[in-house]
Amino acid sequence: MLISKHFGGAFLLSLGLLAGCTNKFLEESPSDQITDANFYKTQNDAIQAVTAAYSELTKEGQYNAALWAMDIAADISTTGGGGGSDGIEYTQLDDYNTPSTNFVAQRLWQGSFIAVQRANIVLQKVPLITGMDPAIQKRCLGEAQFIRAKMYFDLVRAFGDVPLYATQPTNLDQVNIARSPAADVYKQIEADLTSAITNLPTSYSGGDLGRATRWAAQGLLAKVLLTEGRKAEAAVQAKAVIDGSGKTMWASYGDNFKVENENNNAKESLYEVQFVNGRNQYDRNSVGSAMNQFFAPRRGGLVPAGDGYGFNVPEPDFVNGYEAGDTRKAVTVWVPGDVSPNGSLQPKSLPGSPFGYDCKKWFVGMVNTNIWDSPLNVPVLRLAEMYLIVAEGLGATPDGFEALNKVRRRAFGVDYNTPNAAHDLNAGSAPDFQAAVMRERKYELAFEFDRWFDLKRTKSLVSVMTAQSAYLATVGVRRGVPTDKNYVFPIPQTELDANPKLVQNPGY
Amino acid sequence: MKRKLYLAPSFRHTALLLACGLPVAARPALPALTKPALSVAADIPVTGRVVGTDGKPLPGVTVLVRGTNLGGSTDADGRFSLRAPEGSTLLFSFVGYVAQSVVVTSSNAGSISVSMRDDTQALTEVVVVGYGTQERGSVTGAISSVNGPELTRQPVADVTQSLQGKAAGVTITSNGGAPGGAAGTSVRIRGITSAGNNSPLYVVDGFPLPSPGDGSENQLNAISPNDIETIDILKDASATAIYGVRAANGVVLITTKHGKAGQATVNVDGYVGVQTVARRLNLLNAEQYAVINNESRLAAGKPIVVDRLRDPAALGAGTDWQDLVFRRAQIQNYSLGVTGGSEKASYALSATYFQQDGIVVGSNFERYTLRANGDVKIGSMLKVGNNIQLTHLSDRQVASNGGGNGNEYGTIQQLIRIPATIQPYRADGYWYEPTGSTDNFIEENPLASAQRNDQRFNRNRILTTFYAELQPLKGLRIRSNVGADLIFDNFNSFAPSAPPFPGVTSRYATAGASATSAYAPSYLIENTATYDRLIADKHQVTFLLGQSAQEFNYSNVEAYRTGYLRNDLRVINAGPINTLLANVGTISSPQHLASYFGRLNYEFAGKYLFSAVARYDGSSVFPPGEKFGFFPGASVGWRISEEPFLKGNPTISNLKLRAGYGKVGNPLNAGRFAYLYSINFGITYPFGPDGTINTGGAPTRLANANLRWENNDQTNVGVDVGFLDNRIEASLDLYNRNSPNLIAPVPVSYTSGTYEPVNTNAASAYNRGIDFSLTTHNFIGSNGGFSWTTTLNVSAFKTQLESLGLGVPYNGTSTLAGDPIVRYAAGQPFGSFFGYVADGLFQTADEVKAAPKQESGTAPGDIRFKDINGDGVITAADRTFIGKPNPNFTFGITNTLNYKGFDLSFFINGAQGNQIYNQNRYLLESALYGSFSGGTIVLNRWTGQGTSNDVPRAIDSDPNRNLRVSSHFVEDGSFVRLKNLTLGYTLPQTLLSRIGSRQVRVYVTGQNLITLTHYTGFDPEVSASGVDLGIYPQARVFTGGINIGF
Repeated sequence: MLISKHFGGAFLLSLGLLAGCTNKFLEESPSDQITDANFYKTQNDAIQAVTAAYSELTKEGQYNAALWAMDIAADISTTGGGGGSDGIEYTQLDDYNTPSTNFVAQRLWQGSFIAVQRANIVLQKVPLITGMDPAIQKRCLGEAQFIRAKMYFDLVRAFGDVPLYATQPTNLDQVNIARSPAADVYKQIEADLTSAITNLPTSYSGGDLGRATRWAAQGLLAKVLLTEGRKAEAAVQAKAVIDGSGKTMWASYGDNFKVENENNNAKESLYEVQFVNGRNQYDRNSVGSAMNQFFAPRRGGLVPAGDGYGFNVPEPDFVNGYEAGDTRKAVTVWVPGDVSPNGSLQPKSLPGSPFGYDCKKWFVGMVNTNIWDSPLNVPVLRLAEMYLIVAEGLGATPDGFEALNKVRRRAFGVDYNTPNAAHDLNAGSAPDFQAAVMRERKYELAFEFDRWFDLKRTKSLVSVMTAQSAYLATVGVRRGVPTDKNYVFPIPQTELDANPKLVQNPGY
Repeated sequence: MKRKLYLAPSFRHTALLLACGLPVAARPALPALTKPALSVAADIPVTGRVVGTDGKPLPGVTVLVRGTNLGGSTDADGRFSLRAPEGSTLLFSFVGYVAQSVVVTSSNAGSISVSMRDDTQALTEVVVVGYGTQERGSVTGAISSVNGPELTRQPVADVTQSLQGKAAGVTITSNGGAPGGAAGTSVRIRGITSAGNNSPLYVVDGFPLPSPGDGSENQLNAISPNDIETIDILKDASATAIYGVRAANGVVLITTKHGKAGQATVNVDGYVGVQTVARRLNLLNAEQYAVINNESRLAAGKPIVVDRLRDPAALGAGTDWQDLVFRRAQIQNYSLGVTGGSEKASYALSATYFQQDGIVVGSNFERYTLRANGDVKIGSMLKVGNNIQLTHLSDRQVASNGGGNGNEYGTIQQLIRIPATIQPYRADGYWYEPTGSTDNFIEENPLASAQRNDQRFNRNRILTTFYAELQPLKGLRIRSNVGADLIFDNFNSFAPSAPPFPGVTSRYATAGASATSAYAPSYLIENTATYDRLIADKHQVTFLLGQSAQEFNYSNVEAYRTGYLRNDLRVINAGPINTLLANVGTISSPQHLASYFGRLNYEFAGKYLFSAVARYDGSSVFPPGEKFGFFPGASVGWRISEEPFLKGNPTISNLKLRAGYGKVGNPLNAGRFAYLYSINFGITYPFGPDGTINTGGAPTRLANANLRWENNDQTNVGVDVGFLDNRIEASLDLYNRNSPNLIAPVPVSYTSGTYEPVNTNAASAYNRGIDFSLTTHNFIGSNGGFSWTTTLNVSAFKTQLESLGLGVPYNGTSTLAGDPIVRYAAGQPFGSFFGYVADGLFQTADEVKAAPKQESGTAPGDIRFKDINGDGVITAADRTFIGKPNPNFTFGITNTLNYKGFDLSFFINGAQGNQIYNQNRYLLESALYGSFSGGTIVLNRWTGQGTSNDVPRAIDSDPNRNLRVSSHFVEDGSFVRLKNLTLGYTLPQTLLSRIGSRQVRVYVTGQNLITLTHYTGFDPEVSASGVDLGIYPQARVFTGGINIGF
């Protein structure tokens, strides 16, 4: 009985002890997670919050899938790829038959809004952080304003009216709001960029290379104003960038698209999306560019994963439209007979590419990985575009022609500051100045994901693409004919499902 | 189109009846019916002896004169003596034996000899109910038990596979045929209550196993089926409530083998077998592929680009990829067990080796298990003991799209898609790598995807409990349990580079290695006190009070390196120093569960039964103020057959009514700390000249401070009946389970800047169903005579998501292209398929013109989709619910026949009324639209008006999007399968005594022998999700084995 008494006593005691300990036993905070309660407190937190806002740029919602569509949906390229449902997200745009479940529309919306809200958090939380280097604090705010403006600019152009958030919503009631008029969105974009111009430094060095500069913000402001049709104001901003940044264009067009030339403070790029490779992931939502793999010709030995996927195939009239001597052609497209780095020749036709054309601009070839990712940055804004904005803003004036001709001279491989009778345009050779600028933009910025936006802002999408579709039919390439609804993408179905206050764009 | 022949439902029904056997036709031998003894008859002295099956005397057998209280029991020699009227009937009963009756006559009164037979049902007499056991007769909840040979008859690694079709209300679906059961099984007890975790809680020798958080359900493949004594499945909430917050999906209690007092026994079991793929698909040969491919290109106005396809007739049959990818594979299992004990101590030791090669090249599985269970009495009151199991398993899997969202690189999918025109190997014997320009195919060679990576998953698992039990006074037992479950996993992989070959630029140019190791320990401390007392001979009271605390941990570290210059050193540290590394890992903070529980069982006169349980559970993963939950359950029972008017009635030998109600929880779907607004640091962006990866931080999910576990309440009514001395036994249970606060991931608009759905207790659902089981002893032969037993289980349930509350319909499993297949919506069963409705094919251009507008390229030969909303155009809004994965009912029938030394058993199982979303057909028909090859089904394609209304035209790029998610790919998943056939022979005792052996049995089994189904994929069992993304096919297995006992 003695044993039992002791044992029973111990048992009861342990029950009591455990009961007393229970509350402590159940007090757990996640040791592998940080919550908003202990974040946004230090300079390091601020920088991390800004990094998060940048991160969507390298993902599918921006430069790793969605924005590729801006040439495919225009008159530069068709989907290509392997046929069947391969690249269905782009063939739907090719066909101007875009369901509300379209991947491109969905990812563009998703990625852009994620970045918008991460920028919003920075703008809300970083001013409250004490003990920060004021210069860095200011920079962080400028970067967030730049990102928010860039993302809203893509959203408003692609979808029209979109919900406008000045602060990050924290519950569903705050999330589910209606669309604001595009004009209000543009106002917000302009305000952000105007502030960013004062908040951002003019250049960076070392580990900060790749962050948005004042020139990035000002260049983007020029493009925003151009899009709004405020051409004269756009020209002023673009000229300020040309004059103030001290940057010059590369002598050779192709130098814009080389890994070794990235993030050069003195040269042409105003802002570029930063890609690196070697993460060894089949992932378009990381930091490696998938363009090397996705756009490379659909044949063996050119890229690490074997065959390229052959998407984004240039249309024949675009390839044939290069003027003789235009050095941009060899940089931009593969044509039959081109020699690849492994010595093989581009054939006369390939699966998905009946004329043997492929997009070359983002071709890197073999890199130190066995899968997709390539390290080539994407210049979002280049000085060349600033010249073209100046040209468009000034119109058929001597200064307008000079700005346009600077871009043309460089394209033909001659010094761009020296007039060149062979390649310069003038009122005689280019009676329709606006058309000449648009053509130059088409060739200068091809595969830099701008063409659809250009057709849109000039209200020429339906007419140009109707004609293009008719032309392509004569060479055996099928694509659809747009209607007015195609000036915007459909609001993604998942968003309509989640937010009852959203109303679909007409026609979808 | 023609489909495979299948049995018409009526015939199937008849076959089912035949397989069950007809107990009435078996004409059971009724016990002698005699009139009750008349009181006027004079008592005469009666003596006799009772022996067991083995001829040895049985002490303690109750001997009773029928209809009286007169009687006694046998002595140590099995002898008895009493006085009874002449002509009266003596009843002999003893636990574990079938009761016998003998009529007293003047001639036999002096030497009545009775031989008691083992009651085969006796093994189920005691039921494990969680923190204790109960006699079957006293059970008031819904509990199914499976034991003995049922668990080891099938050659499977995971015992849950053996449970399939063996327990009513338990629906088990294999997730694929990968070796070692590595794909796992879906175990669903009484339907589906959640869009997330639906797996039951597994408790091994009292230790509740941690629930897998990642949805992988192969919890039990670390345990050798040879080690398991019984499995008891608690189904209704009045029974499961003792496990509280974790019990919503039912509880599976596993008891391993323990020693018994008596002579030591040694058992050696072994089997060896061969496996082949149970079914192949009919795939296009080279010539057929070229014809279809050319036709589809020309139809789309595209040129033929690959020269070799220009002359299909010259291509012949080409490569038979199924011949190369599938193989005959070996399976083997050897087990050695020793059990024994004395009055003071007992032990059970065992060692088992299981090995299985996969039927897909490159896959194999191996497992070693060691077990030691023992206990010893110290003094008169204290007993201490332990259960310990060590497992090592090693697994090489091939990617086969076993489940979850699409993995486009699975071997099975590549096998279907790769054209037969492609050669498997290059001249140096290495795998040939197809290219777009020569082969029109740029995916991987399936032989390479299955075999190239040198990868292996290893798991070491230690599961142990130690206990001390004190009986300070009669009826009181105080027990302490301390246990640990330590899981050590590592996964190493090396992807070698290809040897150089002239003219080939290999996609395998770079070699790389990865290594992952994970550690998941869980610890348990439990204290219980049980008090058992019979008061005034009529009131049987059992009272349990207990406390439990459990901790769960998880950590892992992951690394990889690439750019290896050689293929022989395959470890992480042998990689190039300056190459890119990833170092990923986590140490989760421990999760704690603290619980208090109690149970009261009250039984009046063995007739009226009452049971109440309650558990108070607290979990550390829930928000303060929401940590604790109370889970009660109660049930009542009435053993009508114990009432005087039925007692002793030989026709109705058992009749019991049961009813119960309880409330239980399911914490898993809430997630760890999901109530917090946490910052995600997996967000990166490169800066600087070298592209240094910077880590960013942002919330990726909105917070929900009110998040709680899911609740479930369940009402159960049941009846147990036995007829003719329990030669026919049946059990019927009806249940209604309501889930009022299910967690629905409320999808959030991306405009929030977050993308993870917010888990919210928003949804409600119900499950209503019937469990029915029937066992008939069609023939009972003693001493080697013919005996035949049939067991039938039928489970049927209806499940429906009633409301999503704040949530909106959301998507589950999606296709390879990312289009949703599964959608959760109010008014629909869980897991319903969502898509367009295919309504045959357009036959003429006029039909296309007259129909609602589909796509700009729609033409005759394309699928006509239904305009559900009637707006004249086919859009995403025309999608609707097109099928459900849940069967109307599932069943299992086991027949066991014995004659002389022979035993024969066959097991048939099936499911009826479920649908499968056949993504295989998507692959098989992809041949119509461009690059890929596919199945011979496309030979029946539409080629002109009236040629087909089922298989579309061949047209490159699929302008009508015939491949969209639609009812075109939904097929009937019903099946009936001869799952197992076993024939055994036990050597006669005369022979055994000569070789000094207690028992020798040799047997052969066949597994997955015949499957009758409409389904056109590899196998109709495609996991509970019902979406076949290309599962690892089931194997047909033939084994031969031997059991030897000493």
